[in-house]
Amino acid sequence: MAKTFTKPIALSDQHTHYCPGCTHGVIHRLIAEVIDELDIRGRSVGIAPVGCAVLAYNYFTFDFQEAAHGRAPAMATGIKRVRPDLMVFTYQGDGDLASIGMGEIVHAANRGEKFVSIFVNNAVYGMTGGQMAPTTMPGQRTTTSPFGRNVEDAGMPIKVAELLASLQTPAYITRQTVLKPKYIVRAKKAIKKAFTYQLEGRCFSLVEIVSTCPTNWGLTPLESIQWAEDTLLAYYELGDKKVPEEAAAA
Amino acid sequence: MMAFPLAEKYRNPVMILGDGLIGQMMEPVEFPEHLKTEPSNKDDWATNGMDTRGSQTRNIVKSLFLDNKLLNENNMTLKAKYDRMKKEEVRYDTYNLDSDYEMLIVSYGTMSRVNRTAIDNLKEEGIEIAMIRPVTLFPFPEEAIRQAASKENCKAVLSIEMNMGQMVEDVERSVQGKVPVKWYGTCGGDVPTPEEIMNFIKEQK
Repeated sequence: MAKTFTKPIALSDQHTHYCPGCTHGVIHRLIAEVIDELDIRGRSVGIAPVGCAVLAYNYFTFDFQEAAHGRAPAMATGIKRVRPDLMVFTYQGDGDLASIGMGEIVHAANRGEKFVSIFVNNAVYGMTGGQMAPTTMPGQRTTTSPFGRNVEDAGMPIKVAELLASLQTPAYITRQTVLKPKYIVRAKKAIKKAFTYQLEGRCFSLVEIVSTCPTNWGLTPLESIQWAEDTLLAYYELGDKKVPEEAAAA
Repeated sequence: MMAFPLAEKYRNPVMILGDGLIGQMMEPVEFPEHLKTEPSNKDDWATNGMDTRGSQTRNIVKSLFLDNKLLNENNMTLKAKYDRMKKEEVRYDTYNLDSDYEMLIVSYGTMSRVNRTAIDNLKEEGIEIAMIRPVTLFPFPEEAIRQAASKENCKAVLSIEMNMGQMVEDVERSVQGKVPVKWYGTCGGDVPTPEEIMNFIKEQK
């Protein structure tokens, strides 16, 4: 019998440590599928963040580096500049990218570094125990905002995709999610587009992916999907925020 | 030019310390031929893509080890690396060390330059002083200092610095109480004159 469906080669056989209902697994798989389809596993280098995905390197089957908190874009910059033929991407959460790593990502994007950032936004610090992140929603309860995020003190959540899309240099900035199959299909297309743009030697791309954290949200996986769809997607609007000029004209 | 090959040899950061004068100095530099080296590392550890290495085995560069046993193994590997640096990379200069000195100065940077003048001037007055200038502070030339401090007529070791004593504890540790260790230091960018150093040395006699 012909094999019609298989696990991507770029994905390892390891059991993940992720919580039930977490979307990291889905996002890992999409990246692995794209790398397989583009046949770039042998020249791919990933940069793992600090956060839940710090162990991401265990789940892929190509070269990986681990960065200090928020510093993945600096590492990616170094690798890509020395070896422009490699396919370099960072995989970062919102605690990593939007908080301590904000300066890194803004300047890497503005310099037009030719790598891809996969930015997983679940509106909370995951690994460290559910603290408030720059992306936490107004009124959202976390361990460091037990009465809900007070925007008087903490301001409104940062929309990273829009923020980076305001820069002139980046090639492709998009926000996607993987909450439901229809979103997953679109998210994969976006990831593939970002990697393809890198193959074409274009400037920086970022794919923000609105994600869940049932454990720290105190919700079941199903409730988490519902809450994310109702609350996060209402604020973090999906879609392309910046595309290359000729793609926009077409 | 020494730092980059060393950083690569050990896969370890190298820090170059300067002082205000060295930091603001501007003069033509010639790169000596013997320091022009080829990269010493093979790419067997690098994350340069499996295709580059013609390998089916991927590389991971990381420092996180959640398993106690693996973490311990990694720490032992790092310890072995430092032990090797301690054996192979200690660098220092000496000045007037073959004389029958009665005191030994340990000093680095701009301060060591001033000390040379002071040592020359004191020699004319019949006072022999030697100096060790650590080139590497980590690993510290402790063995060289200990041996120099142990010389028969050496009565004291002087740690002369342009700070509030950042090195004196290392010097004390190296001397191991064989002779008294004295410290002299200035800060705020004030560079002591040779005369001030000579006076300090004479006060210790």
